[in-house]
Amino acid sequence: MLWIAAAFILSLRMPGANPEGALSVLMEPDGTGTWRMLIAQFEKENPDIPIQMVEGPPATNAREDLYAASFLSGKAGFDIVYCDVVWTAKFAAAGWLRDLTDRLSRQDLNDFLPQELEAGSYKGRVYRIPAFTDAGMLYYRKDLVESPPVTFDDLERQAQQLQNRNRWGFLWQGKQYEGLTTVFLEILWGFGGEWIDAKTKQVYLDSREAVKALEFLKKTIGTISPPAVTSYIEEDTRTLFQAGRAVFLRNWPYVWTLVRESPVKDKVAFVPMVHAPGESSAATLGGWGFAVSETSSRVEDAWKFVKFITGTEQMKVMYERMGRIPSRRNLVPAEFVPIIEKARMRPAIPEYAQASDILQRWVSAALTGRPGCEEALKKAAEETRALLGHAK
Amino acid sequence: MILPYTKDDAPMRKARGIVRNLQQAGWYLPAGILLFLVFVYPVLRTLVLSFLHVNLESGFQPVFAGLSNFGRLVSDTRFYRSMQATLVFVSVSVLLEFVLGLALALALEQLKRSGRFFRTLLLIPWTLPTAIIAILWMWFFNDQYGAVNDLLLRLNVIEAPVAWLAQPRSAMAAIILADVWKAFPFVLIVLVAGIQAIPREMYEALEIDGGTYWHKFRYVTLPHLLPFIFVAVIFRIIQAFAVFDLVFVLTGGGPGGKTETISVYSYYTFLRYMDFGYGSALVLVLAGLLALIGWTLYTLLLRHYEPGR
Amino acid sequence: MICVWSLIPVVWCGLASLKSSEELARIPATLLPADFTLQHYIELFTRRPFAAYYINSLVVSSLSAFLCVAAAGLASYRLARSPKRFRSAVSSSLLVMAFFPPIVLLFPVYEIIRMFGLVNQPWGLILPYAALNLPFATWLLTGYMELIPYELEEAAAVDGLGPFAIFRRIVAPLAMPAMTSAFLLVFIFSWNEFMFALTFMNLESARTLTAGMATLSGAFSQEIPWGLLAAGVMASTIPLILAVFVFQRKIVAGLTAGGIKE
Repeated sequence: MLWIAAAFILSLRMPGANPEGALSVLMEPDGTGTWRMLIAQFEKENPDIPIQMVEGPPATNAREDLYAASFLSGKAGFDIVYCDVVWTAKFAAAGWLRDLTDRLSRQDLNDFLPQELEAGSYKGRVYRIPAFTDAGMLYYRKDLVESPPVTFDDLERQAQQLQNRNRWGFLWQGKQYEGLTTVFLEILWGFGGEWIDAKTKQVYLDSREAVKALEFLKKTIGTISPPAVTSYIEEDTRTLFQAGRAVFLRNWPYVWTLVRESPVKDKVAFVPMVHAPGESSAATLGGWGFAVSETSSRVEDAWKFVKFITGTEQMKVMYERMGRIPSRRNLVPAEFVPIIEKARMRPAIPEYAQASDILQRWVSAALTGRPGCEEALKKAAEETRALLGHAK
Repeated sequence: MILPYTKDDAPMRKARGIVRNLQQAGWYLPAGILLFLVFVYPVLRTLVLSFLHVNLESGFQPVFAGLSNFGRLVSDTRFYRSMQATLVFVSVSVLLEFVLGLALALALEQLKRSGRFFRTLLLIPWTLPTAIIAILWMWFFNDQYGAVNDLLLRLNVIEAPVAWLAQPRSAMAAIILADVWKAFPFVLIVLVAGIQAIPREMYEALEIDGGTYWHKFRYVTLPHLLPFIFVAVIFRIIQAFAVFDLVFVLTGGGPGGKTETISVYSYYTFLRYMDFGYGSALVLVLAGLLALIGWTLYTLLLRHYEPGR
Repeated sequence: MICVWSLIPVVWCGLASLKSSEELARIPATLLPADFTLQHYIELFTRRPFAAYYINSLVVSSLSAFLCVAAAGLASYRLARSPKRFRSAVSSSLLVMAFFPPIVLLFPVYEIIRMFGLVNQPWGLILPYAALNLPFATWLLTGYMELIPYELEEAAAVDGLGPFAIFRRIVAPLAMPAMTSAFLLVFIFSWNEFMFALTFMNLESARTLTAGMATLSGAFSQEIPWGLLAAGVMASTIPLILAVFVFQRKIVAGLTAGGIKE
């Protein structure tokens, strides 16, 4: 019983309250301590604006849920939003983000990567200022591959030639989740196909190109890619590639920093994703930025922070310490430029989550079983049209 | 059926004044307040929401929808598929948990002293946090470097690594495996206590009459255990319907949406699509179904025992 | 034998937490740590305020368990002495409430917690946890309370004790086994609960163990730090397992004492 009493006292003493007047933002786990450092820098220059960084779970969707829960449960939630590239449309449509268009200087507008800016906009207004960018690319073992593949056929051929009992040809993420959408889009765009036109709400999933794209992916399973590829996420594929178990890997830039400390360190290089002859390579745009929440009571201060954290110097720090590619044009490291140039954003529609889920489910279904590629895409297109038409 | 715990509802046999009423009701007050805040209010709110459209489209403003959410539910194939997946998952895993729990409970009973020790060890999986364990299971089930395949290969049970999570059937099997692993101790403990409550004399009587083990089991053990079995099963069913973390982390509902249980679908509807009206309708139907199952089992139970005489 | 099977994942986890990150990435996986290291544990405790987590989890779990059992105790005592119809009705409605998946309750409860300003306060979790387990606890305790002979109470009443005194002095001590079991069960539940804990608690210093563990990550947010995670699981579960070992008999008694009539 004594114990209970002690607990009771402790519970009342708990420092639950938020530090007075601090602006709060929900971030990813700060493994490298970089964010903390940047925030401390900001606070030094702006002593009257304390920032409270809340470290959230690593999983993107978990943080999205937390933001949603915070906004939906009324008034004061987070002041600043650490915003994924696909959240902008949804959050803006829900009225959770403040319009920042008029606060950007002409110079800034030119400085940022156009795709990133567009990804941070909704209906022509800017809501999210990009901090760093991301795009899918093709890693390969340069000690095995003579000249990197350019077309899908090249990839298939080389993968087939170079794989053996202990080494698969091509690894990608095939589990039913957002990653699958990003992978599929790269193949789709590489074939010249399209998914959804955000402006006209047209759906192109049942086109010839889409079917070809899906068929390509399906063909790799069991031939140049392990059957289990339909359960892999980024980490699975990275682990395998770093252990020397694959020739080609489609993944994100974060792998580049990690792979250089792995057993295969000097044997890896990367190129833009392959494409069909006559088409061009494409990469799915990733990236994160900062937005100001509509419910914040200290908009000016929040904006100061957003401006700071997306500044040139800060982006350089992010790159040096976290390997994150800056979203300002002149700061993109040379080796990534060809890839970033080809980066395309996913459709900026509020219903993005549902649309992506539809795509994931049907692609995954076709990859693992019964519905044929054409049929699956037709169904997916139907459902997506219903979704968007319904939403008008 | 739901009784609001208000000050006016005290159970009275001899009503001797308001003071006596209040005094009686006071016993229920703390429980009542807690229940009201955490259960009654949200449940009512869900009920109301299910008749409204509250989603992105409506700008999160409530728009009266009448029965259209329910109408949509009825023709929603994804709903039926998820119900199917859920029913498969629930029935198979609860069945396995039951069989395993029963077998082990009986075995433990033979062991006496050491039985206690093993019982504690066996309880451990149930005390682990599901959300984190789910991530670990994902690791275990990886076909290349996961522990499951590693072990099976070493034991020569399989020849080549199995891609557990890559195909719908094996993925479901994997999820069920992980769930049974975690939850069978619950059934085990309930049944063990049940077995211990059986009077020795009954067994001895049978032995004198020359009964075999099967006889003992069928005429003494089983009838006495029935109430316990029902209890364990009902609770497991309720919990199994609500399983979310395991499915979401292992497969995200895939591949091809085939392992998407109703709890995963609700999650998506509420949190990803932010369609609260429809999500509420979904949950209401689910709860209704559970209540039906529970009530059926409960009525069957009444013949054997009553929780609260 | 089955014991071994059910313990394998836990043991693997324990071993994993002691292997270096490089070894963890090796394929095929190794069994015993070749590269023994305590680095993960060190990182665990220095990177995050684990000490604060332990305290928070302890406080939240014990208080919610206590509150739940207390409230349930009071209610079920009365309930056990009530007429049959009322009791069945209450029991049934409690069961119905238990049917609702927590995900439904998350938003409304979050709203209420916000309204009362209890975000980041331990009571913001203690109250919901206590409430969530009330149906089960009440059901459990009511069954047990019925077993307590009414004559004892009558005797005490004759001696001039008021109803609450009767409860405190006579009934409660007698019901202690069931109450302890309920306490332990709610404790375990609160210790492991994840969804509410993550949503309601933002501040590092206010977080519970499970919520804190959910935010573990490697240097890059897409990287899953297996070693760290494994260490985290061990660090948060071992205390719990120890508690289980100590109270194992009571748990078993509690789970079944409640509802079964011979």
